[in-house]
Amino acid sequence: MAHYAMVINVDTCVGCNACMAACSQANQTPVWDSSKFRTYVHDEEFKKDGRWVRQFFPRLCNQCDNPPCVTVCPTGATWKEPSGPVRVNPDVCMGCEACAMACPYDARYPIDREDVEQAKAYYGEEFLKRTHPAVDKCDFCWDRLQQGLEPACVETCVAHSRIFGDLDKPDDLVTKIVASGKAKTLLPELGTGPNVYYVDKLPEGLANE
Amino acid sequence: MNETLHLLGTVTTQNRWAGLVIWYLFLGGLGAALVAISIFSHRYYKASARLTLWGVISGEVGLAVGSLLLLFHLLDPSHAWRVLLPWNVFLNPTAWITWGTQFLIWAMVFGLLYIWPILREPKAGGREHRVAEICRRFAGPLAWLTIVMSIAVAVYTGLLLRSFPAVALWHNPVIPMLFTVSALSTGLAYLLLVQYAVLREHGPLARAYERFDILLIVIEMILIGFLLYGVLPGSGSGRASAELLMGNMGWVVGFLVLGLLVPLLLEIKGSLRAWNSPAPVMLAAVLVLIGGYLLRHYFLTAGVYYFPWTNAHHLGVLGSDVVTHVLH
Repeated sequence: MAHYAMVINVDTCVGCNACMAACSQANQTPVWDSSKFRTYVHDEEFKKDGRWVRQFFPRLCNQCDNPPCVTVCPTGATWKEPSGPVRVNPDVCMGCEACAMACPYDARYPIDREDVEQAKAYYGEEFLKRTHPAVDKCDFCWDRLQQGLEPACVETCVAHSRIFGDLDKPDDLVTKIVASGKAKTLLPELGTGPNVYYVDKLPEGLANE
Repeated sequence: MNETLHLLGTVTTQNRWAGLVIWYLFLGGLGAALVAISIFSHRYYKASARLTLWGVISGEVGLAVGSLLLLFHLLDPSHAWRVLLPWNVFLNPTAWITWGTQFLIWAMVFGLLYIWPILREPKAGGREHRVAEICRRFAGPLAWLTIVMSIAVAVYTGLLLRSFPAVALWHNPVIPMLFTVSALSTGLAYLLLVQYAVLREHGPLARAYERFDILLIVIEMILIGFLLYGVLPGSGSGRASAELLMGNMGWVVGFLVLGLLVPLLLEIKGSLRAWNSPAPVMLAAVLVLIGGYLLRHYFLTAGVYYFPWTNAHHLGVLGSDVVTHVLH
């Protein structure tokens, strides 16, 4: 059984936002609303050692091992796959948004009736993947995983900032980075067990892989 | 060169669960408390039939209106039928909404069955008469089923918030107790209003309600004090919530002073030496009801999320206008 995970190398992200574009096209997200993305790249500035530093910080659903969004769902519309991704079935979801309230990472957003209508015009009615209003989130591009492809954001990343892999495979770069102990997760104190890891730089010896 | 990952932070509130959900939490708590207190009083304190009907029917209307508001809040209400099925508690037992929906439905059903023989005096021999007879015969078990289910609804409104781990103001064991005590207090206030303003029943039951309400308000104050000064200082999210609350005049003056302290003083004075007119008791009751709404309003709007990134030029998916700090 696979255990999918992602490592984000903050050092190499150039903030081109191609991941956001690729994701929105692959998953038909409501691009007309700037607050509704499955993945988002934050443009950050901070002072470090007396100098101003600009940093791009990509984020997405952490596909938690202990997802609080799943336990609060009263309809069973969201669940965790044995291989890791947390998914939503829009045909079951009633849109109470309890999952979005429970998520500590702001990874879930509502697709309302107007979004579904607009998607018909934008993505074409006959190609529409979603016909009901529902809560939406990143699922590591589940459909692409089934075809043996990587998530769209990973495939399109020009800077190799997003690295995808299977933690059950010892030879995967992701597994080696996580095993090095250098990679950090977000808000680990909440006990959610995130599967998206962040590094400032790739550990020595792994940079050329 | 320091090569550790540099995480920045944003503290923000949410407006995802706002208006309609706040009214639902208020009406759900008030309605459930009304049903529970009315039936308990009818069964054990000889409350009049008129007061019982007023209490239970108002409570049921509150629960029904609250549920309808929640339905309007859903992205797709046509999918809500799944949570109405009783066996959903076996399919999705980890979600409090699953349990809350069932508590609410059964509180309404059992409550209606309990008051059925009081509400109508059907002609002997008919089917309706037989139903009324059964309800009368099982009045004891029906009363307790209703009371347990109603109290569970009031507790659930707090447990629902407790299940959101990122927000310290919600994710603590005080909140279910606080919401339950507040719900019972608003229920008593409503019944006092009915007794004084509508039915003009100024009997011993009304005085018992006043005294019980004093106790509830004192417990509510202790719980809020413990939450603000015992629980919230333990985390960044909690400290930000405490700052938002204590820096807000609506919370301090509207809720703490007018919604808790003033009705408490009015009720203490009334129970020591009775007022000459019903006006102060009615004023206290109205203030308690407004306070019950304000508690839920401020608790939902002051729940603070801490995100380990900055929201530069982006308000985040939560869509809140309130970004209080950027932490470095």
